[in-house]
Amino acid sequence: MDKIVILFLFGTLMFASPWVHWWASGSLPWYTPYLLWALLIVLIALVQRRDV
Amino acid sequence: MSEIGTLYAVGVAYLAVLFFVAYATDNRWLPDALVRHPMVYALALGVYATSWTYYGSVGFAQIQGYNFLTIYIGVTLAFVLAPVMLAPLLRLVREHQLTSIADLFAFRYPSPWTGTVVTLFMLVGVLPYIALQIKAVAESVAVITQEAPPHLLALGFCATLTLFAILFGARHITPREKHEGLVVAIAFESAVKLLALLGVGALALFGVFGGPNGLGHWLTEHPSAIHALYAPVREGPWFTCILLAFAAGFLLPRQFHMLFVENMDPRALKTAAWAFPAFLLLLNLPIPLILWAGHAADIDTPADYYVLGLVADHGSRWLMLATFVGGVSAASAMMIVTTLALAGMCLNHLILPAHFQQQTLPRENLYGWLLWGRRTLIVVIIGMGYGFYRLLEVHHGLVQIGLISFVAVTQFLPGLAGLLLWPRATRTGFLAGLIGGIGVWATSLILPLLYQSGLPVSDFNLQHWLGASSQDRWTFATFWSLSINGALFVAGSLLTRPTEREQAAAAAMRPRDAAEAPPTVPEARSIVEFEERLAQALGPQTANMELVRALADLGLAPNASRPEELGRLRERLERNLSGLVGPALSRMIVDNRLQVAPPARRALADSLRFVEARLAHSNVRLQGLAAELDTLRRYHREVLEELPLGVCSLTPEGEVLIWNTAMARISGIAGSRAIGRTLADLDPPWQGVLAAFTEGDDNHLYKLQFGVRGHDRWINLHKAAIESLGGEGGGASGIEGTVVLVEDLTELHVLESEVTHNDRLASIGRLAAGVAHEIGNPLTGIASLAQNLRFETDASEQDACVRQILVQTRRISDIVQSLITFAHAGNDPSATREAVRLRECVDEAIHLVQLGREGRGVACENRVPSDINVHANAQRMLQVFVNLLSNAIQASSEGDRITVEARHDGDTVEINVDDEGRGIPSELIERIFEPFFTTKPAGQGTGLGLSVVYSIVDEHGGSVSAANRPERGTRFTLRLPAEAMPA
Repeated sequence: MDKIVILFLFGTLMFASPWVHWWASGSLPWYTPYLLWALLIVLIALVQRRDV
Repeated sequence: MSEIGTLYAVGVAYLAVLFFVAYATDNRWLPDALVRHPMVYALALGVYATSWTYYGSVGFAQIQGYNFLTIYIGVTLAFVLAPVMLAPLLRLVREHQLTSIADLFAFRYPSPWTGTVVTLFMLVGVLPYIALQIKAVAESVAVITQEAPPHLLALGFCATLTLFAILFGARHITPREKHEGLVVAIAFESAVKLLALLGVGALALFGVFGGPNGLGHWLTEHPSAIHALYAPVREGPWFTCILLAFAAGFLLPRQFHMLFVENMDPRALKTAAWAFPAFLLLLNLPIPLILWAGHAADIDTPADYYVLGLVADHGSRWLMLATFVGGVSAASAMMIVTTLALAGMCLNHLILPAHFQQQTLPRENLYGWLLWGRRTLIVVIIGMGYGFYRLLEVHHGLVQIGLISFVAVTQFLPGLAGLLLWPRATRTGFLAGLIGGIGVWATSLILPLLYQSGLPVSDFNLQHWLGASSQDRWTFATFWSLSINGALFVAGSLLTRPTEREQAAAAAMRPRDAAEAPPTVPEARSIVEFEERLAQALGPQTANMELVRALADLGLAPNASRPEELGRLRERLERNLSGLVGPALSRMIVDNRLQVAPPARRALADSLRFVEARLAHSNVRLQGLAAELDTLRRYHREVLEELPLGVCSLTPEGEVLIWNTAMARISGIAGSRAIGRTLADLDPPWQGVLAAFTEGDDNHLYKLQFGVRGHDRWINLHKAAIESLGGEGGGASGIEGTVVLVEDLTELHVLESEVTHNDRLASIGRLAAGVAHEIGNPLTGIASLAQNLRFETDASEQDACVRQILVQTRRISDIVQSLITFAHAGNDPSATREAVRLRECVDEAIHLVQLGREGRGVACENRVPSDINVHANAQRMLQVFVNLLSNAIQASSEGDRITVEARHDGDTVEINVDDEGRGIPSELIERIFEPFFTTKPAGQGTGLGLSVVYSIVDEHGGSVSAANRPERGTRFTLRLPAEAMPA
């Protein structure tokens, strides 16, 4: 449960907070949002495999 | 063949493959391991990606840059919460057999209007989305053929999809069955569209740019391309779209259907939680490439159709057809699943309740009626989608139409939050919020859409009316609709109280709370009565099949009759019917036909067992006061269980609640066979014994004797009423009933009998010397008379001698007979009782005691009137008087007198045995009836005589007491039931 909440907060921070302006500033490669998204998916997979 | 003809043929061929996949799955041609693989489930969720994704994402990216990713990242965030949000919903949907989002809300916010409003809203909200799919397929053909959109082809596409949906989505009798063929076919479609889009992406990368390096060069030369993707993220409706996609990921009818209704194994959700977002990521990876390739190649089609335009310009014909098939795949999957979900919702929440209210449901073959009802609705809904497509002549982009549906389903978020987290939420709040949200949605998105499409509707636009035209329309519509919805939801819920139904539905979300609500007990007392009552609503055939199914689900016998079993059956029937006709109608049928028994019958009879069972199997660790109370509960339970007395607790209806270990041992009936049953269901003779006792006036019953499996048992019974414990306001919610204690006296009784017998033998032993003397005298007389007889010649003298011999012989015979009688007296405790002539009994006792040496110097006087009789066992009465008289003789001195008197005293006879002995010390008089108590020196008395007297008199329902006489000696007073001697 704790891991789920932390992961959701991480996802929210990356994609639904002013942090979005950091990676969307235009100075990063075009595939940056895909990398962050992939990272979130990998973390979901890890959390799902570990417990819950 | 014309180009359109070719495309139509390819489309039909593809759908034929889809038919084959579904057919092969349903016919078990594919291995189960594949069909039920979690990845198939994850791919089936790919129904989320429709023509909007397949074609529209590129157009979306053209206008809104990376904002197009929000539609998929929002879903990913929803799936992060799979264990805490989706899994509980899945459990609820499976347990209560809910088949749509309307079922879900109708279950949690029970009202005749909930399902109807949700269904109508979904129908209106999703129809543009269906029209969008048809438009995408038609326009994709137009892009390829460079001709106007072929409406006839669109119609053919709709007809084929209708056929598929009917054959593979509505092939089971009831919607609660899973459609494996459909799931695999949709997963296949997801794989097709993913491969097709990746293929177009590869064409863009390698065919247009010549590989990653070429792409790099192009981007270096066109830095604005990347900037155009990032800039809208900082300026556009990023957060709004994330929120919309978060809700749409599991609340869109097609998503709800695939995610929850068609789920075959809840564990697959764990895989889908990451695999489905991964699928979406792969699907979106080529979008920027296709967009840039479209720009680089200067494709002259709208950006929405760059996917096709690029392939048409640079790809092979085969790749173009494959890409077209991918588009058909995306559109068809969405339409099929959405239509199935909407058809179920319309049937359950629009058609069936109307028929039920008007009592026009068919009495025969309800299943067939439902099946064809759903099939008809599939035709109607796809027809409406086509009509919408033709009517609107939509000029909006694909994404614009799709987002309207997304804002619509987002209106369910407040209700869903209440469902998951807020037990206080009520249907009034839900409906008020939803209607408020729909109002904002309609006036800010739908009315403008219809107006711009040329329909004769008002040009009212809420956004313009409020002077917020500069604001992004999606953000405006989402923010205001959700704000008003949420505010009305909270206010409406706080201003109303949750009904009992709503509380039960809210508790169903929390297994711990659900344990506090045991099944209600129906009025119907048998399965036959269940069937008769159900048949009134469903018809005899359906009622029978549903009952058989529910009994099989619960593993109950067809003759189940325990209130707890019938309560579970009622609950199961409601769930099963929910899967058949939706929760609203199911509740109506069950409430109307299988009414709950009045509270007095329920009386929380099952709560004890249910709560204890749930607590025993609960994995939840209690804390604080709850843990201490649980420890106390366990302690009390243990005390009851280990009590050496049989404990049986009964409800007012005679249902057994507690049946402890001792009770099981005494009765020979295990607790598992007794608890939950009524007394009438217990094995004989216990059913009769306990029923008679609990219904009788006496709170105590002593030494009750009855036979159990050929053996006699003796028990004491005690009972006490339990009156309304713990229920607030008492009565209805309190625990009432009776507690019965059972004392097993059988061993004690056997022991007493042995003691009595031993005491009798001891008495005989004490009499032995006197008996020998008594027999010796007549024997000597007989011997002398026999000697004389040898020499006697006179006939009259001989005759006198013989007569004397006979007299002496009779005397010996009498003595022997008395001894034999006494020795065997009352060995059988169950000996019958009869009218005993008291005077004769006392005479016999006096005769016996005077055989003893001690008895000869004491005069025994029988003053008992000859007309006094007692209701007793004669042999055991004899033993009483022998013991009392022996005792009196031993206490008397030579020349003393013992008198026995008796008189009637109402229904009893009072008997006094007086002696003139030395009396009993006052400090010992209370103990003389105790076993083994004696004042005689060691070896001269067993201490059992008076104890046996007490035991026998008590057994006869009488009493015995002792007191010192004022003048001299002791008086023993007996009271025994009187009985008139039969004439």
